[in-house]
Formats: sequence, structure tokens, C-alpha cells
Amino acid sequence: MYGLKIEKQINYSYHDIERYLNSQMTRSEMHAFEKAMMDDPMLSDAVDGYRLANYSATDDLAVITQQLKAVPAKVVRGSFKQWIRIAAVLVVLLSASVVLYRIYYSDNKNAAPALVKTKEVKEEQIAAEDETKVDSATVVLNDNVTLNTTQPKPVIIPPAKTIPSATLQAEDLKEQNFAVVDKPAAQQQAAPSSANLSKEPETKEETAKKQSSEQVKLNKFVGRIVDESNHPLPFANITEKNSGVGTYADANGNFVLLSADTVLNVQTKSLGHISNTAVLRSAGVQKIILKDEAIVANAPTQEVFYDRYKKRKEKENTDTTDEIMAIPVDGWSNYNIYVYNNMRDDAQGLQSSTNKTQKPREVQLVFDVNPDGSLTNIKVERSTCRACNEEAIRLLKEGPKWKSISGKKESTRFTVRF
Amino acid sequence: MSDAELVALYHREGNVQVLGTLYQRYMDLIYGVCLKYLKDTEESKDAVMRIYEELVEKLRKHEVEHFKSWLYTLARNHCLMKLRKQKGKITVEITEPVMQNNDLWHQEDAMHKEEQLSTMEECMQQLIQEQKICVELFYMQGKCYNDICEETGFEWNKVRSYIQNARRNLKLCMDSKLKNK
Repeated sequence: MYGLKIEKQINYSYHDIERYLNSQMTRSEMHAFEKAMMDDPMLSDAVDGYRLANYSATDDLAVITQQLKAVPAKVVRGSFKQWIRIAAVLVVLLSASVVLYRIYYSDNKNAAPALVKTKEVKEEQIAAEDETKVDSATVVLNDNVTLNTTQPKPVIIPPAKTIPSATLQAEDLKEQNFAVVDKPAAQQQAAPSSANLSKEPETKEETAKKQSSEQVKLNKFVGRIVDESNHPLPFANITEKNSGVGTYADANGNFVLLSADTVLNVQTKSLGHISNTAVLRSAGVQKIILKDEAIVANAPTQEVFYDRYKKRKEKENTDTTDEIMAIPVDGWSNYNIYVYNNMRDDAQGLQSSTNKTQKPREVQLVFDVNPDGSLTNIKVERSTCRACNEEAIRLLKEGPKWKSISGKKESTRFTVRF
Repeated sequence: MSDAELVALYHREGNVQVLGTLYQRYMDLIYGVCLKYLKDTEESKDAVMRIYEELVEKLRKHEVEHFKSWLYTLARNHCLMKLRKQKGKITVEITEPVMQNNDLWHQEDAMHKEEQLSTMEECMQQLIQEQKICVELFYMQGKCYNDICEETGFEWNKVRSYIQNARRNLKLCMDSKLKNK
């Protein structure tokens, strides 16, 4: 009676079943077998099956075993197909960026004479050539890497944007990076400027290097955020989990992180999609696929939030058209997505803990949009939430570029809602 | 390697050969199960293959703790689905889920053994005559079904169901009595 547990571990084969059915077992063996049957409905069913069929299944089982051995190859191929597809995509992306890099690089060398052209390049060209921007983003980053290889800490540096935990020197550098990286379209028109420009930050970089005694080699992590049907997700937030330092993808879902580590654990966030964690490696382009939130269904809040947000925004935009002298380069909806995705969690915590009936927390900012798309003189004009001011300014400061409609420096307003 | 280890390995590496090894362990039983429900050797052979294919897909998505019982459910459902497709609606005798792993005899600790044995005696008295006889012959005297058939003149199937039902009744009886104490 107490031996049940041990006997249960025995896995009976057809050989045993056959012996049992033909009464070839000893009495105690049969007894043990019957006990096992009672505890194991599978064995019990199987014995029933063989008993009712009343034939020797040895040959049939041999046939099945043979067939089973033939199956794996087929199945393995099936399960590999997806991997091959993903690998193929990666290979294509990689080779494309290498080719573009080559082309771009040689352009730089060949077109050396036209040095001063950049300044004449109008902002419209940037907008017009939005599409080329994807590729050039990856290309230009190569320059960026050399610019930033001497950052002291394993700080992760956004491709063309800000350095969250940066020092004063780094602030200066940031402006330079802006100048270099955010003009990919202009550079393609008058490429040599980048060579020219990149020298300046390098010298600055050297001073920074001297000040920071240690020198860390940084690895580059190139990635792309897409949804399940492979459409890029604009302005998704990517945050390294340990340090809390992060960046955001551009309008085409591309992003770059720099870190001394070779593997990064990142958390991604994109409106209407499930936040996901991913492990990034510095080799090749990493694709992060985010699942659509609607599919999961039990988290509709962000979707609702988004709709509300969009409507309000549209209303506001039409209300104040006459005042608008500058707009985000990638459009309002992308900019709003950026604001939502990249709002720090602690600020969102504020939002979720507040009662719905309470006044909405918002910060209206006024600022200048420079001809190069950067923002200066950011000031709080009106605010219903003091604690949010800093975050609102940070979002704007680190955010995507704007575009002044007149092409000159323009003052404009933007309201961040929490 | 244990089933659980192989399942974990398959989850990690997605190697179908690992799964093949695991499946072979239960193939004999699955073929028997298929024979029971489908009652046809050709169909059963086919079903064993289909179940394997289903397994390759499903095991990838599911966390499985007790592989054997999970596989049994998978196999049985496959057969039942097949029958339903073939004959429109069909009533298949679904055997009650036989209790597994949680046998009442494992609950004991030495302190309560005595108490449990006396409770068991009481419960035994409450069983119907046939069940009591069969249980005594099977558990106390360690006889096999064939012996019991000879001794009592009951049919083989009857003997089995007497013992199974007696076990269930005993468990219920024991549970309620021990709870009251």
C-alpha cells in the first residue's frame, strides 16, 4: 500500500502490457501492474486499447517508430524557417547600411570643395528628404560613435539627442552632435560639412577626455522598434534597466545606444503597445517587436488615453492655428507619441495616482525654435502642476526637432499634459 | 534524464530530437490509448503521428509541469476530436479523472497512522459487499485481478471497477472523517 509512489515511476512499455494481457507475468507482477493502472489513467486506457484490439502490436509500433524518426528533419526545417527569415532581414539591413556607409563616406571625400554650402541649405529639404533620413541616421551614427567613444561612465548616449546624465562639457557636445547628426539631408546635399564639423567636437572631446581620467571603450547598439506586422514604431522609449538611462527611436523606429557593456537589458515603451524588455547585443541591427496592446485586451487604458489625448490635441491645434509659427518636424501626432512614450515613469505615477475628477496636470511652455530646429529659452508660461515643470522642460529639451515655419527664429508654445 | 529535464531542454533549444526521445517513452501507451478510442489500427498509427506534430507545436507555447498527464490529455483530446469530426456528434464515455499523486495514503505522518488505520477500518465497513471483498483480496492479500475473478466469479471488468470505486469511496469517507476529528 505504501509502495505506490515508487511503483508509479515505472513506465510500462508495450512489452509489459503484452505480457500482462497474455498472463505471462507472475501474480505479484500482475498485482503491481494493476495498481499502477489504477494510478495511471493513461496506462489504463492503453491496456484497454490493446485488450480490445486483441492483436500483437509489435510490428505496428516498429512502423510508427520508423515514421517518427523521419519526422524530426521535417519539423526542424519548419521551425527554422522563421529564423532564416529573420536572419535574412538582418543580413540585408546590415549590408545595406554598409553599402550606404561606403557611398556616403566616399562622397565626403570627393565633394570636399563645397565647404560652406550647409548654411544655405533650407530646412524644407530636411522635411522633403525625410525618407533618406532613415538610412542616413544609421550612417551618420558612425561619425557619432567616434565622437562619443570617450564618455567616462557607461552612459548610454542617444544617437542625435541628449545625454541625460551629462556633465557641462557634455552639454556643449550635445549641441555639436545636434549640428552634425541632425542634418543628414543637408549633409547629403553638401556632404563635406560633416567632416568639417566633426573636427570641432573632437577637440572638445579631448578636453573632456582629459578631465575624465578613465577611458572606456563603448559598444554601439543599433536597433529598430517595430510592431508585429513589421511597421516601425516612431519615438518609442528605450531605457537601460540598470542605469535608467535611455533614448528614443526616431520617426522610423531606429535607435542607437552606446554603452561599455556588451549586452544591455532594455525596457521599451510605446503607446498602444505592450511594454517589453529585450536583450540587446552590439552586433548587427537588433529588431525589437512590440505586441499590440489591443490584442491583450485587458489593458485598454492607454488606448483610451491616446484617443482622448489626440482629440484634445487636434482641437487645440485648430484653435490656435494663427499663432503657430513652428511645428515639430515629424508632425504633431508623432510628437505627441514621443511625449507620451518618454515621460518618466515617476511623472506618470503622479498622473495615475491622481483622481480622475481632479484638474488635468499640464504645463504650458514657451520657447524659441531656432532655424536649425533646436529649442532655446524654454520657459514655463502656465502650469497646474509644479512638480511636472522640470519633466516638461526635459521632454522638450531632449525631444525631436522642431521646424520654424518662416525659417527664422520663432517663439512658440507647447502644452505638455501629464 | 527526467521528463521535466527534457521538456526544459526542448524549451531552451527547440531541438525536436529531444522531443522525439521524450515522445518515444510514451509512444506505446499513446498507441494503446488511440486504439481504445479509435478502434482501428491504421487510424491509430496515423493519430500517433498527428499527436506528435501537435506536441511539437503546443509544447513550445505551454509550460508543462507534469508532462505525462499533459500528454495523456493531449492524446485523448486528439482522439475525441477526431471521433467528433467523423461521426458528427458522438457520446464517448469519459472516464472520471482518476486521482493521481494525491493518494490518501501519502498524507499520513507516523503520529496519525494508527488513527488513520482505524478510520480506514470503519470506512471499509461502509463499502458494499462486492467492493469490500475485492479490496480485501487486492490490497490485503495482494492478489491480481485474474485471481480475484477466479475466487469470486466476478468478471474482470467488474473486479476492476469495484476496486476503483471502492478506492474513491474510501478516500471520500476518510477525508470527511479525518476532517471531523
